[in-house]
Amino acid sequence: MSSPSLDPPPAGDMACQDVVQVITAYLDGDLADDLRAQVDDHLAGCDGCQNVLAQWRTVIALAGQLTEADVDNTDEITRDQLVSIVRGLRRR
Amino acid sequence: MVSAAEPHALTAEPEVARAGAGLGRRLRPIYLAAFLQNVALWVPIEKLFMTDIGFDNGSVAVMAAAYAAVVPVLEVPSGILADRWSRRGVVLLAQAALIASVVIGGLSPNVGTYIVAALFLGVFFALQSGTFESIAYDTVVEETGEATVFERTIGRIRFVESAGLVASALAGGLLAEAVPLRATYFLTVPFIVVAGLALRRFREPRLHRSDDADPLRQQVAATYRVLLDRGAVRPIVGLLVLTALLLQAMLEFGPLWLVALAASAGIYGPHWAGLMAALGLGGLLGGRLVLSRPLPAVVIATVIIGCCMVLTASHAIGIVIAAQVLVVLLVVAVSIPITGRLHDAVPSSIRAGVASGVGTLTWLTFLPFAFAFGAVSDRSGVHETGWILGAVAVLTVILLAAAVRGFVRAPAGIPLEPAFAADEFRPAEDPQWPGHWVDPPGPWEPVGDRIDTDVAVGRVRAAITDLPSPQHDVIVARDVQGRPPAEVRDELDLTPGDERDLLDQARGRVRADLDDLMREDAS
Repeated sequence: MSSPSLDPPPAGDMACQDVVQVITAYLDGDLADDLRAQVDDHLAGCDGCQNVLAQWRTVIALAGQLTEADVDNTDEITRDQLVSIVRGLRRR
Repeated sequence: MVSAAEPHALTAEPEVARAGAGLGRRLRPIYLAAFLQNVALWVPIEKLFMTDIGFDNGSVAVMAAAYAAVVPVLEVPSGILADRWSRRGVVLLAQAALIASVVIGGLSPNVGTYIVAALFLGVFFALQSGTFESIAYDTVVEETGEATVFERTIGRIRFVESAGLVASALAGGLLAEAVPLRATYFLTVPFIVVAGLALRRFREPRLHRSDDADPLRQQVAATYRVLLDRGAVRPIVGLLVLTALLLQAMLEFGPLWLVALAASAGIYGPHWAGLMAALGLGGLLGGRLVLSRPLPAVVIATVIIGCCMVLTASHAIGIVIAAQVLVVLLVVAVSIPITGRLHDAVPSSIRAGVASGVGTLTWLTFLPFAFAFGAVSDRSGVHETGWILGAVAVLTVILLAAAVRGFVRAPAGIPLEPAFAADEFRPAEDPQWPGHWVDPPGPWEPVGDRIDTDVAVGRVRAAITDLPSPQHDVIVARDVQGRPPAEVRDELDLTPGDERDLLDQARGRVRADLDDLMREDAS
């Protein structure tokens, strides 16, 4: 369904562009029943969107292996400056 | 809040690193100028010198009020001048006023002439206030395409400013033992001159320049509208005014506690150095402070109010100095993220004007404050003024508590590219497959087979670490900590739609980086 084909998509099929915009809501179970059913129908026939869904799940799974400290975005230079200043103050 | 930052393209890691290096190089003259213009060898002995030429507590307050009175007249016009003409040019004018102030101050034989020097100091404050931070914000946006490192940049500028003040506080104290007090004023001048030379080497950002700039009247109206209208900016402006008031009070009146406690002359230099070091440390701390988290906000509020209470009660010089240093450190730290939100909320064309307008409001507030402070201090002693500081601190905390939940940078502020670009899909007018993939994404190899799990996790970690703050905060809460959406929305004060958009953007950026890894490996 996602590839160019001689056959047009089934009537009522969602566009891939619309499906990828609701993936997070889909994974969170936040979609209304009818929209969720449309996404399921689309996914059943679309390899590209199935792959994107699998990739989204991979991202979530890999992120889940991290801790908050792993992804602390405190600037290292700033942190080093602060540490050296505090050490300097202690020496005085 | 609407950001002035333009949406920007996805940026690969090496490009981010290059942008960061470019930003650092470009800002070097600013850091140097900020350091040198804050070398003020006269500051640690100013109160002694003023006493020598006839000042008492009351006339100190009059002097403070005099320069506080001149600033509001010049603040907004100078900010608008900076927006329309040249921010660098306005800072150079400020430095000229500083030189005049220092020379007249050094030559002063009495209270009257010293107040003239103070007026020139007011001109300096008016011209440079808000201008440095506007330069920093626009340079950050020009070099990196976003505003996320502004807080760290302005934190570093505050740090080098305080380094200049600390160095000169220590050097000025020592110098005053070897030369007449007046000489410390004259010896300050060469540093300001070199600061001007450094500034001339700075390449000014052009974001605020426009070929079809608004007429002056419209620009003035827009500047005041942002400052005075009800809306998201008002509590930010209020917080900035209150924090600046506390800071100004500590720096201006802090030494009076030492006078009241009959501290020896040798204490003044280290005391001032401590306050100046607190300015710098506060700047660094503020660069990473997340005010939307309750614990740091509560701790900071408690400590600030507690320190003000200490100033009403303690007669131990060491404890008084420690309380003042802590207040300065925490007030500066709090003001950094608040300043960031102010600049997020205003367009570049009126940035310096609005920032200067906040300065105006601060000075207008400081004027009656200085008189009240002087009157209470003269009548009841300086310790009683701690209650005034405490009242300002409580007001600050109340406003902070009311506004703190909005301190996650607005989603609209720095949107990332969507996870999939529009041209990855067939156009709407495609006869058969509108909105479907042009080239459908292929499957990834299972992680742990050809791609080492540690390598993949490392790539995810790097991608999340590099995300700007709202997307970073949301993906950390949702995918790293595994917390439920409703809890995350509640803590970060996001609507369900905003939370999903931010998470989508964050996951999209991480997915794109992982996709690169998969392709690298495949090739």
